[in-house]
Amino acid sequence: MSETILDVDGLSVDIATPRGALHAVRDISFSVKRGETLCLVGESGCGKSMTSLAIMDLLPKAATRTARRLTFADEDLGKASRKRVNALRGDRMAMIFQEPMTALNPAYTIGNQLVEAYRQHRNASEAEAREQAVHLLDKVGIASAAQRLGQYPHQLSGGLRQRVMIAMALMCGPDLLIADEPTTALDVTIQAQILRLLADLQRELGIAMVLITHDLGIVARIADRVAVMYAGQIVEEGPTASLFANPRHPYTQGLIDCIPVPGRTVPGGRLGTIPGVVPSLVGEIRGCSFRDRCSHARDICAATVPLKETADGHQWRCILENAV
Amino acid sequence: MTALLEAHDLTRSFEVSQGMFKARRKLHAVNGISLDIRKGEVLGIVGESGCGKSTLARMLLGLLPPTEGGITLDGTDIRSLGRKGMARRVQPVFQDPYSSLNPRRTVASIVALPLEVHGIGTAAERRKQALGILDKVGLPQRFADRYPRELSGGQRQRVAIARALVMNPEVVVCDEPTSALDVSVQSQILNLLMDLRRDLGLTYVFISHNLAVVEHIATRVAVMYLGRVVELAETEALFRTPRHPYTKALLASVLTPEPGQGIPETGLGLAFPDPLNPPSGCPFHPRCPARISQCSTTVPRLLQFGRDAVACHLHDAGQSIPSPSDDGATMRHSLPLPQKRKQSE
Amino acid sequence: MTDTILSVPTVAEATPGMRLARRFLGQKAFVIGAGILTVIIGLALLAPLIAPHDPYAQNLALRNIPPVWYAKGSWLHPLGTDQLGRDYLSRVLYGARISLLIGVSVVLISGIIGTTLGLMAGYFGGKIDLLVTFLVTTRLSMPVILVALAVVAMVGGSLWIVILVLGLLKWDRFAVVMRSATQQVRSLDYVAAAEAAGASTTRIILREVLPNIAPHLIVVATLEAASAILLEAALSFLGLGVQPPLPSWGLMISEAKAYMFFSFWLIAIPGTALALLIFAINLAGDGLRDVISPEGRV
Repeated sequence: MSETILDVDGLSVDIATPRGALHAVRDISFSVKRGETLCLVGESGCGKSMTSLAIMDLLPKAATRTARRLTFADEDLGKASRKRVNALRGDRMAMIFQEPMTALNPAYTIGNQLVEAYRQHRNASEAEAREQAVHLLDKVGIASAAQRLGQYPHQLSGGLRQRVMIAMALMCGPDLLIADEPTTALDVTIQAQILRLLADLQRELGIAMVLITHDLGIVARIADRVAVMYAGQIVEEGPTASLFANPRHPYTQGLIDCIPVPGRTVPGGRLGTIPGVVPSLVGEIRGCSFRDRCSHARDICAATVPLKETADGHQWRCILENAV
Repeated sequence: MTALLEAHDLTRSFEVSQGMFKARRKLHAVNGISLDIRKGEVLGIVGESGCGKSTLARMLLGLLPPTEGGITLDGTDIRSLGRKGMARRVQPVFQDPYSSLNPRRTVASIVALPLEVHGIGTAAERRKQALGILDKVGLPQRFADRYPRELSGGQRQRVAIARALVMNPEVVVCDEPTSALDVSVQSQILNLLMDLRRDLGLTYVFISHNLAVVEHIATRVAVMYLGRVVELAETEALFRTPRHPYTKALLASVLTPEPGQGIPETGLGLAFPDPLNPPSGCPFHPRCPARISQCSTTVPRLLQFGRDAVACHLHDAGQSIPSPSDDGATMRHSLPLPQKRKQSE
Repeated sequence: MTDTILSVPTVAEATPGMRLARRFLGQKAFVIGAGILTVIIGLALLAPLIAPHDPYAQNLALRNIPPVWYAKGSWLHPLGTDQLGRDYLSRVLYGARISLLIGVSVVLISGIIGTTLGLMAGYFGGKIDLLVTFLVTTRLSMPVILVALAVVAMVGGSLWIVILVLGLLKWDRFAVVMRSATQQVRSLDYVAAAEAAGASTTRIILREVLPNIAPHLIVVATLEAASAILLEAALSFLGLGVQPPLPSWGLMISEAKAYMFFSFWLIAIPGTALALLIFAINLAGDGLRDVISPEGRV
């Protein structure tokens, strides 16, 4: 069960802007095994969504992707033809977006969309596809699934739409599921339901999942491993428990300190903050990109920052052993 | 101590068109809400999208007239205060700092706008006052002549807060003030709001869907569901011993960053209500894990426990409803949980 | 997400004005259109100084002289003379004044009417919106040319009648565009914030809403100006607009139509001038729209 599904090594995404190349993703490496959930966490502009689009080969035109290695189930995505990637996408690699309303076509019934995706990849008959659709809608907890097939996306509530999106992503039995902020547009009670569903299905079907989020609460509850992104880089990566119990990078520590936690932070007390703003990612970037906001910064932070690692696979990019 | 801002049986309905040939229907965005906020309190209002919390905020600001009921400020009906009179005492901070600042005005001119409207001081004096308040919200002077688009989200929200405070209001109504911000910026804004409250003796109405944030900043919390307040209590008590099943579900849904806890089961089911066609009886009953027979037929009344309240049949078995003169704080802890709820869990 | 990166302080050196100017200059269409327009406006304003002759002075001895590039042409009348021996260059230059005067005046009148109606409808909504929508529909059901024909036939044609008629008829697009733009701005929180700050409705409309929809207003104004100039030319051509001896381009074409087969330039010159002006205005207007459209915003 420890088969590596997605292996990313040295992935970079540059976006052409009038003021020069914007290094949205800078030399990141990670891998996801079958049945494992990796969370990419970071604030807006850190490059987490670009990473997912780069893997799916869905980058905007102005962006270019480079990677030392980008393999999906031992297939080199860097060398694969556009046709081959299209065939993989939606079939063995699936994606769930933040806003299901933009990802579902309002002009077709959800049945149409579910069936179409399946038939396109599987050469299946209409009846087989419908059967699979009903089976999956049932699985994602949608009651009277057969009747739902005839409904249009706007007839469903946000939570139901996201369930349909999940069912659609699972239609072809993917090996890899990339979920980009799948619950950000939903209410908290619905969020818990959807995440629970995702986690259950992922475990049951042995899917490798990359979940992109800004919410450390979600990360802590669903991830096996966490990669913290800042300014286009993964600044820290490790097993969830280890990362939360012993955050090594000052940015990770800073993020954890920022959020109020019922029962842990003092109500009305001061929350931690991270002063300053994210540096510009246009042009050449040297040294630690967090150093301007870091209370531990020293002169050597302007030089190349070492990547450190512990025995349990906890990696971080900092001159320090520990953020505390 | 008397209430500073008080809502009496506040109702707001909208006519919703459902297509050209269908009859218009009434949407009760806010349905008979009574609240009171005392000076220095932070009243958190929580609830999910469509529960009417933003409509309530607009009414408390005097921006939207209620269909029924009324609002008083220090005992005066806000309708008699007029727009300007209201503006001196109650100010808003909105969710989206990208749409709450006029893109064609500079920061200083945005902050000075309320002073300008009220004809306070000369242009130079107004600018000085604006710079002073910008300094107070942690925005250096060099930002004064910039335009909103040159600012980050957090900086913009500081400008919005500065604008709200420049008239020295008593009440600030914050409608999801940190929802559009990154977590590291959210904590800065929350710290700022708390500092300002302490320094200026402000009273906040703090609307949010984020329970962790509300627990952190609020002193009292009102939980809303489909236009009604279903529970009202001191923050600490509400988070420790929630009475309403919906409050319990909300609390259970909070994902704290504690690994190994897994994702909670809320037990809510999938029946999401249509606000245009609200369920009969208790609006929460189709999703409620603890519903009993009368839930689908009778709307539960709001039971008062001192200053606290809950609208749930599980608590309305006729037993031990304290008289309003009782001290709510002592009641809260000693109130025995009704038998029926335990069975159904 | 890239926006956030882009908007981090590095852009602070350029003032908003400078950046706007740079964006305008990046638009080739706008630069060309605005360039031609500037030249035409300059020539029109300077007409009394640069016109070689009095545009009304007839000289029947020098009728129908061809322009200078014909063998019979002379530098005394670079664009030749018309059937009454009037200097054609001078008439074309003065004609530009009439076209521009029509364009500006009509847009001023219709712009004020349409913008007021659109602002009211968009801001207040409800019954006022219904009323304005009804007015717009009513207005759209009346063809401009026919109404203008009827009015001019009743009260007689003159420059000011044409301006008034077109001004009172062409406000519909202003109303429609301003209405939807106002609705959009009305729903933004800065309007609510101004309201909560105690600002009066008039103040909010004039100081908060109007500046933010002004770009749309400018775009509609340029396009409507072009359309008004064309309509004037059409009416004058039909003899129902500007009356002789005023040198309106449309009138010049009309007067020349009898000589079409002998003195082609009498039609070609004012026709080209008209086409060039309309082309320039439309190009500038389109460029303007591209620059200020929301997607193009930094």
